[in-house]
Amino acid sequence: MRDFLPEYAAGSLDPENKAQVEAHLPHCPTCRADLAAWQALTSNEVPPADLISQVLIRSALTPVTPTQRRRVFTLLAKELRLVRPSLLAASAIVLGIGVLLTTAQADGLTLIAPIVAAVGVGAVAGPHRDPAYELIATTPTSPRLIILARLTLIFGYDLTLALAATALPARPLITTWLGPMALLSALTLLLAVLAGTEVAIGAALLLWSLRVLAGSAFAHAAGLPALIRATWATNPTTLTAALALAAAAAIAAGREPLRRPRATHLA
Amino acid sequence: MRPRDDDTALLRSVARGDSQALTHLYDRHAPKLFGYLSRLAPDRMTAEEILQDTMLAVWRSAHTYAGSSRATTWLFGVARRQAHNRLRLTPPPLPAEHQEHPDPTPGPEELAIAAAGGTPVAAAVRRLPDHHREAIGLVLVAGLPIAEAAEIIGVPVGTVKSRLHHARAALAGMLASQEVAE
Repeated sequence: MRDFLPEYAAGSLDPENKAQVEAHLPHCPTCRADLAAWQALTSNEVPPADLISQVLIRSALTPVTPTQRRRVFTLLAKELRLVRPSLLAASAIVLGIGVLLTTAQADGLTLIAPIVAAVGVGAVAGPHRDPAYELIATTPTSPRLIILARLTLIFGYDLTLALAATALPARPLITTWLGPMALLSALTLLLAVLAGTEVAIGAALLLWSLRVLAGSAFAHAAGLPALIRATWATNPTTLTAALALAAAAAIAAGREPLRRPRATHLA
Repeated sequence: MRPRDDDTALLRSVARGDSQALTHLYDRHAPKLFGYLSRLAPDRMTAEEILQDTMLAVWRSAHTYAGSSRATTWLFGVARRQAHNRLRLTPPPLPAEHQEHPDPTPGPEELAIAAAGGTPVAAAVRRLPDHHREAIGLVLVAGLPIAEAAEIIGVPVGTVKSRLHHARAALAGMLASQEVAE
C-alpha cells in the first residue's frame, strides 16, 4: 500500500490502485501521515508563457552545428567546385575512347584508365598550379584533408566511370586496370605534392609508357619488361603500396612551410 | 484520439517545421517538464534556460523521434540530456545504491530562504544529491508514473522507489534538525 502513495500524491496512480488507496486511507493514520509527507514534496510550477517565441528566435539566430558526416559531405562539395569542369569532361572523353578502342586483342580501358586517373589526380593535387591555393592555406581545414578530399573526388570519379565501362558488352576485367590505376594515381599524388603537377604528370606518363611498351613491343621479353609487367598488376602488394603512397602524400601535404616557388623574391 | 497518438502527431508536425505544433506541445507538457527541471536546477532562471534548451532541441530533432517510446518519455529524455549539458550533473550512481548522507545542518541557502519566507521543504530538496532530486522531480512534481520515470532515468522501477524513500528520509532528517536549530 505504501508503495502507491508517492504516485497517489502526485496524481499519477492508475484508477484501480487509486480506488484501493482511497478505501484504505480512512482506516490508517500511518498512511495518512505518509501521504502528507509525499504531498509536501509535490508542487505546481508555472512555466514561462512566451518561451516558444524565444526558442524560435534562438533557432533562427544560432546555426546548427554540422555533424561529422555532413562536414565530410560539405568539404567534398566545396572542393568539387574547385575542380575544373574541363578536367572531368576530358577524363570522361578519354576513357570513352579507351572503351571504344577495346578489341579482341587489346583492352583499351586497361591501357587508358590508369593514366587518365593519374593525370587527373596530378592536376588537382599540386599546390603550384592551384588557383585557390593561397586562399585555402588561410582556412582552418588542414591541407592534408584537402588533398585527401580531392583525391577522393577525382579518383572516385574515374573509378566510377571505369566501373561503369565494365558493365558494357565488351566487359573488360576489373583486375586488369584497378591495381595499376590505384598505384599510378597514388604515385602521381605524392610527386604532385612534393614537386608539382608538371613533374608528377610527366613522371606518370613516362612510367605508364614503359608499362605499355613492356606489354606490347616487348610482350614476350624477360628481364626488365617482365619486372615492369609484374609491378603493374592488381594484387594485395600493389594496393597496399598505393595506400602507403597516398598516406605519404597526405603527410607531406601537411608540412610547414608550404612550398610554392616564387612566393617571395628570394625563392 | 488518445493523448499518446496526439503527442506523436504533434511531434510529426514539429518535425515538418510547424511552429504552431511546437506551441501546442509546449502548452501540454511545459508544466510537467518545468516541474522536473526546477527540481534539478539550482534556481528558477536556470530551470527556464534548460526548458528553453529543451524546446530548441525538440524543434531541431523532432524528426529523430521514431515512435518506439512514448512521446512524454522522449520529451523528458531530451530535457534530461539538456539538464546534464547545462548543469554538468554528476552521472547518477549505478543501481547498486550506495548510501549518501547529505549534511543535515541548514546551510546559508536554507537560512536565506527561510529568512525570506521560502518553503523549508523546497530549500531542503535542493540539498539532496542529484539522483534523489531527479526522482522527486519526475514522480512527485512532474507526476509521471514510476515505471515511466524508471524508463527515462534508465534504472529499474525498484531503484526509483528506493531513491524516493531515501530522499524522503534524508529530507525528514534535514527538516527535523532545522527545527531543532531554530
